[in-house]
Amino acid sequence: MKPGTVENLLTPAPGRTVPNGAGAINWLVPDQSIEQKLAILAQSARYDVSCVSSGVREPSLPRPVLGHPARSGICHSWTADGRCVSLLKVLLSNACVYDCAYCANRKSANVPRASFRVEELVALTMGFYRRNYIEGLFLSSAIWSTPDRTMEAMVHVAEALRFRHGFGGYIHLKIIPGASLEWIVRAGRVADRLSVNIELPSERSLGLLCPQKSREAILRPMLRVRDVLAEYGEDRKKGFRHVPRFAPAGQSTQMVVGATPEGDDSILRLSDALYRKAGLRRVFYSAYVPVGDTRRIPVLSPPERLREHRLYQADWLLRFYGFSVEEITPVAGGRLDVRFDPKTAWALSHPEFFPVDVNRDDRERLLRVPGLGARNARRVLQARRFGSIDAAALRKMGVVWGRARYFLRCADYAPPSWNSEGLAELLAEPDRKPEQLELPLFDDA
Amino acid sequence: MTRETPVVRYDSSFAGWCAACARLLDEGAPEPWFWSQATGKGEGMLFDAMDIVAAGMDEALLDRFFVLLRPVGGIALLSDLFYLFLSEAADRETLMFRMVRISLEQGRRGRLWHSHPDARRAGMLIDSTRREAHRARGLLRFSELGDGTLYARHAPKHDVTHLVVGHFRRRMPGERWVIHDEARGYGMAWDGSNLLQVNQFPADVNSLLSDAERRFRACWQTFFRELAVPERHNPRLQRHFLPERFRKYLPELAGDRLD
Repeated sequence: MKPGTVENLLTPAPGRTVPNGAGAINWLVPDQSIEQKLAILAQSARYDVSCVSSGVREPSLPRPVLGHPARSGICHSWTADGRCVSLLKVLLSNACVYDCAYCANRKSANVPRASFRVEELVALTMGFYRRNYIEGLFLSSAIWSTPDRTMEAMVHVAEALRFRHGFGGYIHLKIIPGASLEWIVRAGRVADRLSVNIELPSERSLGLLCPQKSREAILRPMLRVRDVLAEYGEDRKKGFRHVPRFAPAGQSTQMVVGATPEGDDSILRLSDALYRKAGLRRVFYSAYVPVGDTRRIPVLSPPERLREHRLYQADWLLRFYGFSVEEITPVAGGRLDVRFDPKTAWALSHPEFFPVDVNRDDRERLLRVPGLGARNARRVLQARRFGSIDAAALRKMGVVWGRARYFLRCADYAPPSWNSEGLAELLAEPDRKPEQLELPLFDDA
Repeated sequence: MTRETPVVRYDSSFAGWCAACARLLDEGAPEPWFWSQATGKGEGMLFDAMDIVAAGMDEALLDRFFVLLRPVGGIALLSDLFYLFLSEAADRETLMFRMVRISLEQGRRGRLWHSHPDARRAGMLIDSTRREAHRARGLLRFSELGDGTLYARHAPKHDVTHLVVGHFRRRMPGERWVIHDEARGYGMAWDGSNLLQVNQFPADVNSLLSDAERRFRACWQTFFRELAVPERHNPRLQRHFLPERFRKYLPELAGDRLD
């Protein structure tokens, strides 16, 4: 493709309009200012959950003009909804030919439309980065033409940043379902992370709400990215010196929760499979927020933020605490008990496992104690080499004593006897207001 | 308090403290009172007599200190001590001395003794300093001046400016920038090839801003506003992550707003 033609993809003929379900909307307004476009395209991107900038160990370029990724990722601000801002998260265009029922940018939605030109996005990314507003760019797009043409335009933005302007900061590119493998591989060469949204927990729901997207179109690029990552990893192990850089921060996905009737067990089983079989770094969950006409949504309830919060907690148990899906959600089609965090819920139904002796038991057993996380388990293991640990030391180390005290034993302390029903009443979290809930999870450092 | 307790005066630098510590350890002295020359702060400041005087320029003492530390913690312990020093806690020198003692007694694992009160307090201060530096890396905001220099100011809880300059040097190797610590009255500047400490700053930075600065700030404020999901409005969480001391420097929260 000749340089500059990507601009042509985004440049409308004067006065050109695109018909959609809400009437003919002039979606590429020639005289839109960059600030107007930014307002529209940031708003369109705000339902994408991921804003992570971690996981990159090597510089993106040997000698960048500007930009260097931070391995642990950095949050640069927090918006009024309490979510971290790490990247310039925008769509390249919000003009879509698809009509997914849950999506704010669907073809039939009556929203203002806009598209960035390549150089506009480059200027914003470099300008924001210089001022330390962001770690880099998170670029997604509505599908205004074919998946390939959309993906191609996104790749051109990333390539312009990397190769024309020497930008060494973080780049996260969304893969457009249905895009050809050639463009996906090219995206991986310039991006630090790739992601393709799995959207909904089951094929049936996908068919119902996104009839133009197929499970195959979503899974195929995901598996292709996994294969390329594995292939390059093998080459590195063999000692090949010039293995190309390919999405060093891996890939992630996102699914909408609460728009369809799947239980938490289905959701977690899917996540578990994605971690194990597709090698994903993260699965993000997004409580469905009704936007516009919601007649096609089969399950319409208020945004289930508490459920989303519990799913994130369960996700962490799967990844870092050695729990299985069956342990977390034993009932088929069931939901997580929102009164407790999933670890406490498991502990209440397994009294035979406790008490855990903090001075003797191994890490796996320590990690099962509610109120004692991975960091404190490590501290306990380090500290007990110097002598036995008492209750005061545990509290000062940061163990959540109010919860942990029923499940552990230490040098000077033995837990009271308890039965599951009585303790459940004691430990049930009081009704929490939505603003008290949030995910400390947008940074997977 | 008995006069057997030595009183140590040092030149207020980290290297000065290391040199003083080396002398104390060589002489097998008990835990001292430290007196910091520049700030006048220290637990032994009421005493006229100084038993030990040390400065960071004493390379022989510094070498001695590093040799002592190498087998019992090496760079990791030295890094812990530096973070403790930058925490500016009132008892930092004593705590640092106790950490060295613990490490000499227990070896490399001494710094991991989380149930020991001194090791735990040291760990908390180190974490706090590290966290503040991490926050500064994200929450510093540079403004472009008319001559292209990028200028940022902050007032961190701990003296973390030294900890963040390397990060910005890697990010913006070809730019000229200044980070001004308003609380401590000094700054660090990068001119594209050298890192310098600076002590003088313009009184009215807003009058020196470039034309592009206004446009970028407006774009950033727009982006920040539009990115929030109204249905998930959560100001309490936002306040939790954005401490008050940083807010006045953030253009997106109306600090540094250009009228």
